[in-house]
Amino acid sequence: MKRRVFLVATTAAVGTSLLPRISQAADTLKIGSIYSLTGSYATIEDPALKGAKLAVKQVNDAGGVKGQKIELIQYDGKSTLADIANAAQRLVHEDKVTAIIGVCDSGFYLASAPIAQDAGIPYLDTGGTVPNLPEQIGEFAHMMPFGDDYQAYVAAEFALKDLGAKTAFLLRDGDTDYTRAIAQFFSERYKRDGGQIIEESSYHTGDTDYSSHITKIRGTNPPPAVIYAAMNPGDDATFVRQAREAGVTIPIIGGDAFDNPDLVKNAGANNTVDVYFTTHMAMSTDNPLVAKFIDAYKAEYGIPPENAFAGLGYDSVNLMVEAMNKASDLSSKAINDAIFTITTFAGVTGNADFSNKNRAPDKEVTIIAVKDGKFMPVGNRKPAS
Amino acid sequence: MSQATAATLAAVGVFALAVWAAQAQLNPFYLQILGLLGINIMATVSLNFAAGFGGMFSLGHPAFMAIGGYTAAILTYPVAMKSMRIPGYPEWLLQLQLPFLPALLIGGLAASAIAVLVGWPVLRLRGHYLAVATLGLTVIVQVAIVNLVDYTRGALGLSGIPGLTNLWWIAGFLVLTIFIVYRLVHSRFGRALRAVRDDYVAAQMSGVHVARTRLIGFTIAAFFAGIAGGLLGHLLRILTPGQFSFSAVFIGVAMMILGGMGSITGSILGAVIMTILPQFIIPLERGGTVLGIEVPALNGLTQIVTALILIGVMLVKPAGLAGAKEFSWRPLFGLSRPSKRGGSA
Repeated sequence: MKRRVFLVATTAAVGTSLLPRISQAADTLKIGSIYSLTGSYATIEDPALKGAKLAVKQVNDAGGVKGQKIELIQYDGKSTLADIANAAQRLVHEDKVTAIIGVCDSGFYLASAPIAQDAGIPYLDTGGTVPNLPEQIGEFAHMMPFGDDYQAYVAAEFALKDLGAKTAFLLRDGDTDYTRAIAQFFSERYKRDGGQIIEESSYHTGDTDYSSHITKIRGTNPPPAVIYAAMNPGDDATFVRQAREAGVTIPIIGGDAFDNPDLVKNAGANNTVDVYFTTHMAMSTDNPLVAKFIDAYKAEYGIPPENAFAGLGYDSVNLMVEAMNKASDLSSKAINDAIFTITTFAGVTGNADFSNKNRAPDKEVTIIAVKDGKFMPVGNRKPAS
Repeated sequence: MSQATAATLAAVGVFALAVWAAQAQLNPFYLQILGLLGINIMATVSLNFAAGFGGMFSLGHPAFMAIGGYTAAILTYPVAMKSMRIPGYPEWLLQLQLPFLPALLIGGLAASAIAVLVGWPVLRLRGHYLAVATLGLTVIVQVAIVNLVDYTRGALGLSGIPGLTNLWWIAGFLVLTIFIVYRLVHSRFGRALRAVRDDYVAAQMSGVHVARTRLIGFTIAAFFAGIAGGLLGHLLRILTPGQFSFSAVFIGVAMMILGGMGSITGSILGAVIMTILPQFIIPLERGGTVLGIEVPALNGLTQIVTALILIGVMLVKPAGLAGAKEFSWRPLFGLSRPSKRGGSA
């Protein structure tokens, strides 16, 4: 018994000391990443990692950063808080990375960011959109996407000005923070600018029958001129189809959750007429930067980018690289300081200004119109102040 | 003092020394893994107390951990941030910030209180009926946390919890949990509890108050689960409803089954394997060159290996690694079994 215990302990000790050393290349600049490749977030964080890897490859092919190659050290977050926090600890204290990028969920970010903050390592959130994440964590926290306030404000202004809709019906998923937040921000801006929210309605994630909400929409007087649908992926298509089949033809506006191929697939092309949403990027070849990105992505993975998160992952690496190039030296602190000096970042997900230390970047929001089952860009905008 | 008691005390001393050395020497990554290990052991021992020793196969343990965790976190939450992030509470609670120990204990008691409320009707059920009913509790608590946004911050999770948990707190409560559960199991109450598990009718015939015994056992298990939840929240500095979902139920049950139902030693073994082993596999998942050989990224390898181990153990030792046996000093010292009831820990 004793001998066996000793054997196990020795094996464990030797294993621990060997494992971290296995895959270290010399003289590389290490960027850590945490993306969930298993579990419920895999469908959005896997494209984000692919985008990030593509950017690393391009940067290294072009000579790296200040003569050094970048090494991306990636751990699977497994869509689980404890695993994500462990991955952050491992990156900071075992792999001793210079900077970290990762996660597409604000909760995931809040679970891992204090670890990087305590160690003084810049950590860029790839896709979590709660507007004040940096304020909640500290000066080493940064965000790649715009905040939810931006996209909801832009949606409200679009409804009032472009669609001329002065009355709105608000449908929101009451279960998730994201949908509550965009619904609230939309309502705020819509009312401020002279719109009227006629009726609000809440549903639960995964509901399959929206007839009670549709009856409400049809029964209100005066009738609403537009529907703002603060919904999650999956539910959006179900609602849009049921509303259109029930004869509700007024425009429907959604948030970035609408940016998924299932919307048209499940609702049908003829039911998605007059459907609009705000998102991070348009997969359109009009913008030469985006066209190049789509081509490179196709060449690398054999498929076009799955969604905007691929672009956000791609931009995350490129922003870090720009900060590294601008930094006085390649220490974590210098890179972190350099991020705040970037005011005209040109990414595939839009132009952005990172000088605000407390909030999401000042960044353009893309408006998409669904036409004949295709996502057509309407324009890139920032909300009026 | 018997030789076995002396050995146990010596082992606790060595354990304390190890905790001291770990706290002083190891980097935060290893400390976090060891911390999660300790919390997992506590949770598994308490689950085993209800399910293994009490025959109450509860799938509601994550709910008790959530209640204990959120309660403790709300009590230690910085006053400056409270009214901004969780404004739903009455004014006196918003102004209150307790030290860690009372907050943890109140968290444990809150979990116990819910256990009494739920246990009263639900513990009439047995076997899989009880399992399904307690699974309902897990679902209800999770949905409640998601919807009570002004009290819990909903699905986003309660972040900004002070990082009060260190290895000393975890080790202290771990030793306490194991000691109390061990003593309880070998007390008159524990024998009654096991009697109810083994034969409901016979226990009742022997004068055991079946309903009360089960309810007390369930409540005690919930208390330790609540403490484990409180330690977890203050270790990770965030609590979200997603942490206490179905997958938490399955992992908890897997740790218990792997070690052996009705064995504290088994619970420790199960939690150690399920917590530590993945940490060795994770670096392999991302691929790279291992000893000069190019290895592709193997996402999900951790889950597959743990599942295979679970299947393997179930095939070879269906009762779990330790079965219903406990660790004992006797074989090590070559002691004979003490006659009748003279033995002590």
